[in-house]
Amino acid sequence: MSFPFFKPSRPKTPQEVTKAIKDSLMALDIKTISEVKSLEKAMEEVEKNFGAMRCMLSGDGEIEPNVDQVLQLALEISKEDVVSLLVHKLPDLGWEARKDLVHCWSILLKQQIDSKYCCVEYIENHMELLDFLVACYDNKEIALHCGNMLRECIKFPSLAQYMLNSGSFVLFFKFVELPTFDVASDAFSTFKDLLTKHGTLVSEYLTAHYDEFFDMYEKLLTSSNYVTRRQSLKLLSDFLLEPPNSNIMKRYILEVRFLKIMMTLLKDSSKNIQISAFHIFKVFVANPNKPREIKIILAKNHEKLVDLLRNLSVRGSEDEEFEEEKELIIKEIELVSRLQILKC
Amino acid sequence: MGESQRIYSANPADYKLLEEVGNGASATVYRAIFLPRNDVVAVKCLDLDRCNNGNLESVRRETQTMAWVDHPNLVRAYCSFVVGRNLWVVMPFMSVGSCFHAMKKAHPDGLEEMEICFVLKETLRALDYLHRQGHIHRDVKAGNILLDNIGSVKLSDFGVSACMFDSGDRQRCRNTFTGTPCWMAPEVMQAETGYDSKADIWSFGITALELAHGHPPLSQYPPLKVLLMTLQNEPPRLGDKKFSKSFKEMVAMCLVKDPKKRPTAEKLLKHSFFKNAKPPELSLKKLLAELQPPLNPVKPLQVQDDESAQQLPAKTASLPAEQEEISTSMYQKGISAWNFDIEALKAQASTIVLDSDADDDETMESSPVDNCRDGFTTVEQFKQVLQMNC
Repeated sequence: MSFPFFKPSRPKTPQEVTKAIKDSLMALDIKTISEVKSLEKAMEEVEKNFGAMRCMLSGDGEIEPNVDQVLQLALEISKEDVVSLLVHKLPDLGWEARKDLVHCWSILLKQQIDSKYCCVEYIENHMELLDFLVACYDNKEIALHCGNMLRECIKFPSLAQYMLNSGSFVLFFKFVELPTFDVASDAFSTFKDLLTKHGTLVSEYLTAHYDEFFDMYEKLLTSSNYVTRRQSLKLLSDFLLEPPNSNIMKRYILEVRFLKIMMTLLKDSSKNIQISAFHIFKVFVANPNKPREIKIILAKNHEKLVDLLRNLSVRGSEDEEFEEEKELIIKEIELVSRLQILKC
Repeated sequence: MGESQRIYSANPADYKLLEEVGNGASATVYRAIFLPRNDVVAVKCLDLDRCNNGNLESVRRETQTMAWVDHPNLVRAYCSFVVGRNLWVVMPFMSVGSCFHAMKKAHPDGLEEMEICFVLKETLRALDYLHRQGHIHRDVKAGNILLDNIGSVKLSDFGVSACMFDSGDRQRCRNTFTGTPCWMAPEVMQAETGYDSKADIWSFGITALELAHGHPPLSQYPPLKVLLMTLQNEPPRLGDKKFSKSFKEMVAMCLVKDPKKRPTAEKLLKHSFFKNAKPPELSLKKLLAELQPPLNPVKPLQVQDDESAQQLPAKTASLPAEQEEISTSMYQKGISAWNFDIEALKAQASTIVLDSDADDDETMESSPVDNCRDGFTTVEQFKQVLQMNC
């Protein structure tokens, strides 16, 4: 029998909600988790409190959230170290609680008090939380939740910068090739955001880690996994051909080994990959200051290349532009192949 | 959670693909056996190289949505992995197929009220769950409501479903123009106003009419005319004498042009029409019996290490009648998932004078839209279709 009036009333203020969340998360300790009955009860408590947090942050479908309460809640949660708890306890949570957390996370991060993002600031002082989230890609159960939370974090330049330079960044090269598609593609999506959202930061990072980065990237471009090849190639043109990375691009197109990768991808059995490869290959060819080694490769292979390019076409509205570019590139390759100096 | 807890491997060698049970322009669905447990599943093989919209983002979203939903009335993706250029998505196998399929096979002029009531109630439960999770399905129709031989009902195809929480904001409205013209809510057609989960309630109402009559209202008209008539005419109604008053009332509640005046899925579930829903062993018994045997029972596997288990089986020579059904369903699906420029559409619309008397008999050729299945339809293609018919 239940007596509703004996139950503790639902936490109402942001302070109460924060305290309730903190207490219920702390209760998820090893002793509790190892016992089925007590775990069940503790989880129920967490779920109830997360429900209250979600309701306060985004309303309940009928009532709109109260802006002041949302701000207060974000402030309390960062002040009371609950941000850390939320991240560290994520693997122990149930299905609905995790989803609630992902939903609330993005709202919390965006809260600004006196032009300061309180939760982001908290993470800046506890950067290891980001590494924790990255490592979660290895846990299929929570990979997508952590991926979502991570992408929310790296919208903020300071957090993205930490991620790029953190030791866990290299893990992405592994995660994007995981056999499970939803996890691998989620990791790729985060990887892509890291390399495209903050142009200047990325350019600084690539300049400092040029060799290391492109050595690892080469493995993605030559992967036996179709999706890895296709996505990494597309991403390469997304960041390499962006203005802030022009110096990186200029360096990249001087290297014979990268030209060779593009030539291999031009021959890929997938049409999508061929076309994406063309858009990078053309920059190697169109470069007015091609090094001698690049010219030699183009000259040696000019017949095959011209054949390949002639057979390459796209459908739809880009057609005309593509054909025009193709003709220019073919002309350039033929020109290079007739250069006398390369023949000795 | 029981069903969702089942673990399926991401190893193609663990699956033996059997006959084809459905197909579209870039995806084919097979009945398959998960060898380690001898379980029957459905495997959707999506040719990723034909998703040539530049990136695989939409595919990622669809699989993610399918992996995140957990409700008995929704088709969930157990797992998905890449095999060559294909993405394999492992899903529960629904032996009877879609309600559209079942209807065409057993009752081309529509189902009985008791059958409709049960199917709609289950579908509505799925919508209620999706809406609570912040999703809009955007393609509710009989062709996406699947049945199995014990009468469970699951809503499928998240091809165009959007998550309102994608960006993390409480973003209630979407500004994309996607869906199926006949089932499409008026506010979805006027894409600039944005729309929310109430768009699904309209489509749900149209689906009710589809199940009652064997086809949705206006299905004889070309897409553009459907758009114009939906915007200009009074909403369709269920008029037939054979149906109950509460059924008619429920349909009328869904088909209100102002989305704010439509009930939420949660409210609609409480409508008196659904109070009378009978369990499937009563409500669907006759229908399921008429549809038996849907497919051969699964034979125990003899050669488990057969190499062909990893290859796609050659298209089985299905019965001509079945093929025809597939092509009809292709047509129905063909006009699904439009994704075109609303301005171009308006420009087209402005040149058209709607003369409802003269061209009532106009019918549409199905071939031009057959290849539009996955929403990669270009504006050009769409215009072609329009020009041919309008």
